[in-house]
Amino acid sequence: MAFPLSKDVVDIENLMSLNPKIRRHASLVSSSATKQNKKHWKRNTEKGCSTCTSKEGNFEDIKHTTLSERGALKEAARCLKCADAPCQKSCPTQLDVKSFITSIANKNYYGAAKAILSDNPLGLSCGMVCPTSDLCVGGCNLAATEEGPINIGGLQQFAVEMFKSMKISQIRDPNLPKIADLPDSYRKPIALLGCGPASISCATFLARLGYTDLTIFEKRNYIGGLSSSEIPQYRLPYSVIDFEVELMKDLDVKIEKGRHLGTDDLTLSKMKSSGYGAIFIGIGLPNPKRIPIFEGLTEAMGFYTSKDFLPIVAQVSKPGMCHCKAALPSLSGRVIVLGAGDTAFDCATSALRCGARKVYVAFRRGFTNIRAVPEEMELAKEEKCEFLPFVSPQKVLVKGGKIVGMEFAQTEQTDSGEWEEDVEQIRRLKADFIISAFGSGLTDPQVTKALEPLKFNTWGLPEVNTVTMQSSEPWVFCGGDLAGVAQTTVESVNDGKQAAWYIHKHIQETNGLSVPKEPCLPISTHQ
Amino acid sequence: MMRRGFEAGWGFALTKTFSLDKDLVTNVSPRIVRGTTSGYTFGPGQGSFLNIELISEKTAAYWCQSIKELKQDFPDRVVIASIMCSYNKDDWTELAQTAEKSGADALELNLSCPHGMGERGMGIACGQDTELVRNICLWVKEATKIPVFAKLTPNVTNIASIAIAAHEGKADGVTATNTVSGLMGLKKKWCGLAKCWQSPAYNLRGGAGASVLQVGSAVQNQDLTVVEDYKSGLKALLYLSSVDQLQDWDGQSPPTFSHQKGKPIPSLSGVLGQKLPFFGPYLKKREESLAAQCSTSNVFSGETGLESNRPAYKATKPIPAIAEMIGKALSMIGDYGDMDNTEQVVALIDEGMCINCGKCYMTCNDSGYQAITFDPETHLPFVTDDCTGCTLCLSVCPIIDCIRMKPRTTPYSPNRGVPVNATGRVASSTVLVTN
Repeated sequence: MAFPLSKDVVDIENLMSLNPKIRRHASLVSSSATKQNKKHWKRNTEKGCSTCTSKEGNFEDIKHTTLSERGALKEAARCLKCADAPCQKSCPTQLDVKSFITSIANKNYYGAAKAILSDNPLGLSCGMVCPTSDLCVGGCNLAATEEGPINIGGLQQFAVEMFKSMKISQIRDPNLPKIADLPDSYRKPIALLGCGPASISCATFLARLGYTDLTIFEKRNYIGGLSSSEIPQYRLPYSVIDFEVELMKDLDVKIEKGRHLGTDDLTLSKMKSSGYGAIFIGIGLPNPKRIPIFEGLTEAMGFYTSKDFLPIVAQVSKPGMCHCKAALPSLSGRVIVLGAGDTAFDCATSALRCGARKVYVAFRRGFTNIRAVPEEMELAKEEKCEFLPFVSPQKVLVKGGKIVGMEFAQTEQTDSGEWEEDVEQIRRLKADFIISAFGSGLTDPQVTKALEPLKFNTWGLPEVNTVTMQSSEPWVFCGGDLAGVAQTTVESVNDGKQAAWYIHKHIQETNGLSVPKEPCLPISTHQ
Repeated sequence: MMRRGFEAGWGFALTKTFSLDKDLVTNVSPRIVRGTTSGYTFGPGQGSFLNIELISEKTAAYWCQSIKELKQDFPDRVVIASIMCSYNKDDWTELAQTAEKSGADALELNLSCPHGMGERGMGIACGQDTELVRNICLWVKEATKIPVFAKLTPNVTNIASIAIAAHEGKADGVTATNTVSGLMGLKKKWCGLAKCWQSPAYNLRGGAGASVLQVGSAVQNQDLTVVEDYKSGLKALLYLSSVDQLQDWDGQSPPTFSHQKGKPIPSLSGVLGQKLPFFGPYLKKREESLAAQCSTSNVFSGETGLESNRPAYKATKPIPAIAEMIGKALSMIGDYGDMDNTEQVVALIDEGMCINCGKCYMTCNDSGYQAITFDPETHLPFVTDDCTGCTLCLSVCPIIDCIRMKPRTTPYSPNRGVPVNATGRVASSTVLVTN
């Protein structure tokens, strides 16, 4: 026998060279060698690395919460499915979180999606963009363990995405009375203004109840509201909005694009006389807040508000949204983004996609007072945006018709908690572009005039009953950003749901019928 | 493998059960898969494995020579020869003496292989009957001087009586561990590849054929509302089975696309054909290639890219009623003998999904066929032609569907170790034994 049978041939020995061996001695490798070698295996970013590879034109998903099926099953198994679950109580739409996670754990993704969409017709959008650390995840009992709370947003996204791939349409609950058997009150026309989360939600719930004449008027030539126009593709792809709106359209809700609330088009008084039984206003806050130092600045000079900038980026980067050919604004150079809300961070990361070499996010207060949720700030930080706290804009520096920089004053918080600007501590920063994200409001006089006779409050917003969502006119309802309570997509969705019930109550009662005392909105059903 | 075990420090080892040349076997594939007891925990720490692996495909000549070498090189370790024959005194005598002559320290009589052998009057066919057990032990004890253990099968009602029979047969001890026969989850994909293979069908909780399903422990773990989830899930499954476009789904799970952490892997024209895992310099290369691709590409000139959500899919066949589903898998449950060992598979690893842990590599090395290479720089595993399709790699992989079993394109011829002809015996006419 040339070679022992019980020994491996050389080829096989070589193949097994990396197989674990028992260590009979300690290992000896120089520190300098390891300093180099460990770089070969690193999966996370090198610490101290101040640039990341260019993000120009790259709209791939950057969310940390996205889950594969493997990840989702493992996470769903980890969930404790608690009694009187705090996650549900923290959800603005009161989603039965524990129930949908149980369904995922049983590989019943349809069941999970059904549970989600019953309470939140925009469950997929919300799964992707909700500031969960401030909502459901904040209450998760597993936060009391070392492993930490459940990735609820990721699980929600996963379940509804699976359902989306099944391509099943929505139908009215077949157990409810047929449309033909419902009284005329259900055929009263209802108009919804603005095709954003609030109206989409409101229309869906009204349609599930049995209302058949629902029309949403949208001023842009694309639907979705801020989800489409401002939230970037790499956080919320347009195909999600399309999916959610198609589900709504399955229930025969009509949409008219290119129609807006304004003295030259739709007004409340005109709509009242055309016979609408109720109106839901979900137009959001369409006008950016501008400070005086921006007077006279234009895009050509390098100035954008978030309301100008983000929609342009959206139009180019969201396939299928609007049929317009455009190019990304070319922001090569230094960009300063002003503000520290979620929109500011979206502007910052979007600026990188437009080719910015360096992005600074400048804000008046400190790190500890940032308005945006931690998840959003984290994303900007990971992409190597820089942060400038404690600065307040004083002057924009222009040369030769182009922005060349900005002047800031240092801010400080006094002992009594107030914020002061100190103009003796001035700081100049060179920049080529400025994007302001100071928030928005309703200042367009054409719109406020079209809203007559609604009463407005001291913040310039319509007065709204926070339970019934009614304005000062009993047949006009408001929800979303415009109503002044909601500050996120999910809260706007809930406003829409809340309003739907009370619209239903209003219409039925004004037609001499009554509704049950306990709100009973139908759950979502499918073909 | 035994040698490497001894080098690592193991005190004793048993050979895989071997037989006389006339009883040589050929395995089917896939044949070893992870059980369902670990839920959705893939990777290390599996609670159970299912197997329909037979005794050794290698000849007695191979094993006996190997035992001789091992005893020579490791005189202080215990080597036990595990042997199996049908119920025939001459066979048991011949094989036991051959094994003893090779220098084995003890013999294990395999009276318990639960699949594939019982059908031929071997393994479990012997181990379930006290008279057969007693006689076999007596024959072997008569023919040899080294200690003899009877390996019992748990697939009996009262193992104590079998053990007593072994004792009466003068066996020096018993081995009380072997595979329990059972049915553990029905998987559409296994049924597609090789006939569904849970051979003696002890239905766990009425799995495949029952009309009523009891879910007591599911409620114990949670609460009564779980029934709503079962109802909606069942309805969904019935509906999905009638949609043409979703026929490649496994229940409510779409086919797994190549992903890293759930995100699709961008196709990079700049580095086509290069082996790039997702760490270190390779990750950097991927990122740079992607950046170059994104900045030069014409970002979305208009309409491309939106996959449409409507029209919705519709059921193209009538949606089955529950009554039609009862017993649907029964035609796929049968005996080991119903399987075709000419339909073999081999493993294929998706390098895009791989997370480079090397579990497949390690298990193939120390429990398989040493058929996977592991690159020292990229830590990418690769399955070689030595693969026999046993499916262990897939069973220990932490990433679902990163390893898949594909039909084998070349004929399968088992490695006999020492070929039958070399020993001078008349070659059995059935080297590729059909069952």
